[in-house]
Amino acid sequence: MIECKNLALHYGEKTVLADFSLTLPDSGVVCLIGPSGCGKTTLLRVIAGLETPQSGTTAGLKGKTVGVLFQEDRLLEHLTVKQNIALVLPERHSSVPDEILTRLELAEEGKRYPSGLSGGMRRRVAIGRALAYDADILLVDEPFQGLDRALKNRVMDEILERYRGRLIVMITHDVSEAARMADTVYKVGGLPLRVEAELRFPVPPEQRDESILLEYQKSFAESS
Amino acid sequence: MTASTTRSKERLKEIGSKLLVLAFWLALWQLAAFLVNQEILLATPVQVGTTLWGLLGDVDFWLTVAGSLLRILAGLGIGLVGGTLLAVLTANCRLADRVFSLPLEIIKATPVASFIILALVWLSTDSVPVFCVALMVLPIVWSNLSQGMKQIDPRLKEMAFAYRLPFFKRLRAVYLPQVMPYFLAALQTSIGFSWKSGIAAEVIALPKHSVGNMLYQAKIYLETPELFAWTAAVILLSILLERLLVALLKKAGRKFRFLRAGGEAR
Repeated sequence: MIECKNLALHYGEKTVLADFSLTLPDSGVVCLIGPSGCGKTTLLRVIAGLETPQSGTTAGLKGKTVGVLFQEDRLLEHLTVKQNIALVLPERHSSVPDEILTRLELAEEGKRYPSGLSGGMRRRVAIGRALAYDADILLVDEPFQGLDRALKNRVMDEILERYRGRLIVMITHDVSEAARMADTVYKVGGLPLRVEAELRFPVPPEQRDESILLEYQKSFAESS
Repeated sequence: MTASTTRSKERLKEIGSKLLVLAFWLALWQLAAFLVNQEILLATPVQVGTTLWGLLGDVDFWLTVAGSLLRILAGLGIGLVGGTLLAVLTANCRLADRVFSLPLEIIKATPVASFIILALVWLSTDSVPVFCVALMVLPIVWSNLSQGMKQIDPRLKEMAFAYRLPFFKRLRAVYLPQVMPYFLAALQTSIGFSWKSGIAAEVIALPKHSVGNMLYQAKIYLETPELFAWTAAVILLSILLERLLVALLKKAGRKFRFLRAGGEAR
């Protein structure tokens, strides 16, 4: 379990986290849904170790690797698609698993440079890099921007499959994404960040049909 | 028409136009020399070419060139390494930045002649050009690299940190590609300045086997064609050295993947 306890973080006058606590499980998908600028990304950055809170603790992260899929693609323009993904692989000469490229529909683009790719393709390269990193915990910040519906569904399935038995924490604005992937959803607000509602989606993601997805979306809309 | 034939045609056109420009200036020079009609004041391009051609066959010419080249390369090397180390230091330590900025700005603004005369008091004649070149190059490299390091995208630095990239991978993938264009620009400027300041120092310090010494002799004996020929040799050497070093650096960049294959770093 990862325990965020009494986190406090402020930038100058702006208080983003104030006495914020949240416990995350070792596995499963936890979604945070809330308005822009309510502090979700800051929380993710604290868990990733990119931001140090002024007070409070995060326990349970020691010895665990954390992969981050940022809101922006953050690709290296001088490296090809394949080299960008291979960058995060541990051994020097290990190659990118083919199925990552295939499932993300990037098999043909391996040797191209990011500057020649569409926004959606660049997004998939960033997703591929996060998947190839193979961390214990995956933090994703609005990951599916620029992907069409069919591709988005396939990418979601790929992420779920690769991270089965591990923890994914995902920020999204899209309730249908949460309904498809999440085991737990936190409806959040801010500033400072606070949990307004907690929802459990007990049916495993691969067994959810249209009616269950609709039901989950409805339950989210009705929650307060 | 294929793309490659179009490209080679364009290249030919470009070379042709450059040759035309060169021919124009040579003709103008020849005309001026003809009008002045005094070899001591202005040698003709033909005289300079013939003198240079004669020098090329002389072993002493090559010894002289090698002497100057070694001194300039030594100064350039010291300046490049020193400037790079200082840039890394001042980019990472605000106190160091404050402490070193002032002397570096002063060095940048000091006339090279002042350094040469001071160095003559302190150092051996062989070391004077090395010292002056290093002092000319160091602030150029420092200021360019400092600027380049400020431009490194913090989001990419963060990405590298989040994915726990080891130091050398981070250096190669994130830092070098973004700093490289600044380093290349610094290198190109530095090489030109190295020759200018190095030869100036040689003319005053007069070390053995130096182009500066030869220029001085030519001046004393009023051998204007020789003065021009040595100058032409310095210009050619400077251009060749610049092309060579830049090409080597780009090749290394592509090999170690901190420059994009077949193009510039972005």
